[in-house]
Formats: sequence, structure tokens, C-alpha cells
Amino acid sequence: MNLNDEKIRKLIKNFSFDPSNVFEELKKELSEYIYYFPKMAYKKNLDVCGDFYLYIIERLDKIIVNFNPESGVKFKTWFNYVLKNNFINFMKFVYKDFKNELSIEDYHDTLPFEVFNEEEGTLKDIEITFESIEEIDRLILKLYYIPEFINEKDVLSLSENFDLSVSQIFELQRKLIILRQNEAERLKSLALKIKEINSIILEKKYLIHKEKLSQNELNENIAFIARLEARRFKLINKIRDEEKDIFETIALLFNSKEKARYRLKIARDKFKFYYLKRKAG
Amino acid sequence: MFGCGKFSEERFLLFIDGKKDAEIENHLKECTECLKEFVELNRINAETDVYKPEKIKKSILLKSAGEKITSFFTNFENKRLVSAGVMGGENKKDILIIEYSEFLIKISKNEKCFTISILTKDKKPFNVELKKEGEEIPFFMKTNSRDEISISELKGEKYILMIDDEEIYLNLVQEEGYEN
Repeated sequence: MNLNDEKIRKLIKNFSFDPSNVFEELKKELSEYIYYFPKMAYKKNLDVCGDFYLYIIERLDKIIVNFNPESGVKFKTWFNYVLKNNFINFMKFVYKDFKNELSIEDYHDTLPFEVFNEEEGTLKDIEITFESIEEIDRLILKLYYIPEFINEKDVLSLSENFDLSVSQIFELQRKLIILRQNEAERLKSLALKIKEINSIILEKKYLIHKEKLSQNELNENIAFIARLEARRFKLINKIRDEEKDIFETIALLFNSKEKARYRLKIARDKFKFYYLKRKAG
Repeated sequence: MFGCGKFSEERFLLFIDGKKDAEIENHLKECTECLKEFVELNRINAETDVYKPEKIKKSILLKSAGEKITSFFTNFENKRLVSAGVMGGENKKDILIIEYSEFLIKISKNEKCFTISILTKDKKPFNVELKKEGEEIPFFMKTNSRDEISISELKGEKYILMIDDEEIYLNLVQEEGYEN
């Protein structure tokens, strides 16, 4: 979700000259962003979004005057920083036991199917297994599947293991978060297309089975089903495709795709082994 | 104050925006407090960049004090807050008006309760359901209506409003000090 940096800067510059009109304009520009902030940044539901919105909107005039429109900092970066601090204060005030931590469960919509298969076990098991595998495997899996989970300890380990500067790691993490979420969108849209095709195939099969069709109609319907099945097969293959952009980004760390593929396979296998071992008791 | 406070907020935020700064780079390797804050902000920046609001449920949030609507939020494009009353009368009422496709949703508040009205511009038949959030069975339902549908006596709570196939999350808030 974007914010219009140039427009907001101009509005803040004019704030002292015409506070009430400018404030209404600023509210218009920022409302949606404020409302969805708990959902975007902390995976909270619309209840929390609504309460947080009211909390911020009452303080917005005092918050906004702290931004220096002449500064080189992007408004969005500054605003995220301010909203983050306010969100933590708000949550601590409303929910006394609030901990500023995200869990795998918060990301279960965007997690890929093959490793984190909810049917085979609970997300809690996954989380515990994740913490019990070797550091390098955990780092690789985190980067590949849940880059949102890279913490301060991981940043230092990544820097040591892959000889990267802290800023390079931040850049990598940002890139992977964006790619992973785009990938989740891609998978969702493929799954929807497959579902649509399945229902058309089912309808056609029902028609063939129930209705007395002429030979011509029958042939036409069978040919149509065959075309749909071929299309469905292609879509399923697309789902199975290696997540190309994510993989290539990770491969840069190893300077070789083969080495990256090998390391990723080892990390996945180890994860599965420890996971099954844990499940077996 | 950012992290441990050794550097200014502005300098840190510029670094997050991509400005090279060797001193901060080195500091982050030694200061867990700053690094932790940095990692979180970096994640938030990326997650907010990629978030697509058009895929989310339509929602209306409305806060009132007495008959006044003090704040509202909705992700419907066409909305306006008006103040209306009976011709010649002194008391005016705040009404939030939302337009989407062929529908018009109006929400107002009297001293104690909220009222929602739904009508169509083209008088085509439409269905309305209203249930409390978390409940399965709607407490209000009307099908194939061509006329304005009005639901009154609503308390400040969270509801799910269905207008044909559109599900709308409705959060009506009564400001503290004003009892329902």
C-alpha cells in the first residue's frame, strides 16, 4: 500500500497556515493506511484495526507535526516507525499480556504447502521443530519460506555465514518478503482457476451422464472436457514449478544454483526428519 | 528515541531508506537494541509495500457521541458525512452516506441507538441480512425488496451486513460516557 510522499509533504508544510482544511486532507490521505496498519504489519483482525484507527485519529494532529517535511526520510518510513511505536503502546494498554511477537500461525495464509502442511500436524509443532534444527538450516528455510521471521540474531548469523553487510541483509529480507507474498498471491490465483475448471468439468460430465445427447454433442463435450483437463494439468504444473524468483535470490548467497538447490534440499530434509521424529514422540 | 539512542531517529530512518552510513552499519553489529528495532521496521516496510487493500473485506467503522458522528472510516470510495434535519426544525442529525454500485447506505444515530437504511437507485429487488459478528444466524433478514430497508434500534456493536452478495464488516462504536 503506497502513500503519496510528495502530496503529504506539501500538506504538512501548509498545516500551520490552514490547520483545519489541511488536516481534513491529511486524514483523507492517511485514513486507509492507518486503518489497515495492524493487519499489514501485525496480522491483526479488523476489530483491532478499527480500535487502533480511532486511537490514532484522535492523536493525528499532534503526531503529524513531528514530521519534518524538509527531511530526506521518506514519509512512509517515518510513519511506519511512528505507527509501530503507537501500536505497541496501544496493544499494551488494551491487552495487558500483549507480546510483540509474530507466530507461524500469523503467516499460515502465505506459507507454501509442501513443507508446512497443516494437515500433518499443528503449526505449533512446526514452530518447535523450526527452533530445534541447526542454525544454518533454519536460516536457509527462514529466508526461503518466511523471511518475515528473520530476527536480530539471524541478521548477525547471516552476516557471519555469508559475509554480508547488515544493510545487504536488510535489502535481501525486504526483497524476499515481497517475492514471497507475490508468490502466495500467484498460488492463490492458480488454485482458484483450477477450482473453476474442476466445476466446469464436473458439470460437463454430469451432462454426459444424465442427458441423452446426440453423437455430435457427445463428441463436442468430450473434446471440451479433454481441453479443460489439459489446461488444468498445465496449471497444476505451474503450481509445482520451483519458486523461480525466490530461488534465484537465495542462490546469489551461494554463488551457484546447484549449491543453493543442494543446501535447500538438505535443510528441508532435516526439517522433515526432525518434524516426523517429534510427531512420532 | 531510536533503539539505544546513540544516533538520531532521522539518521536511522535515512539508513533504512538506503542511505549508506558506515557508523550505523558497525553500530548495528554491536547493539542488539537498535538491531531489533531495525529488523522490525524493515519487515514492516516490506509488508506494507506489498499489501493490496483492494482484496479485503469492505468495512465501515463509525464512532458517535450522542447524536454526533465523531469519526468514521470506510474503504468504500464514495462516502460523505452530512448533517440533515426536518425542514424548519432546529435539530440536525449526522448521517454517513455511502454509495456503492446501485446501493445507498445511510447510517445515523439518535441519542441511544444507530439506524441503518439501505436503498437502491434503480429499484431492482435486493436482499439484506444483518447479524452480530461471531453469530451464525442473522437477526434481520429481508429478501426481494425494492423499497428502502431500515434497521433501527442497533446498539454499538460489531455486525456483518450482507447486501446481496457483498459482505460488509460494520463496527458501530458508542463513545464512553454515552450509554446505549
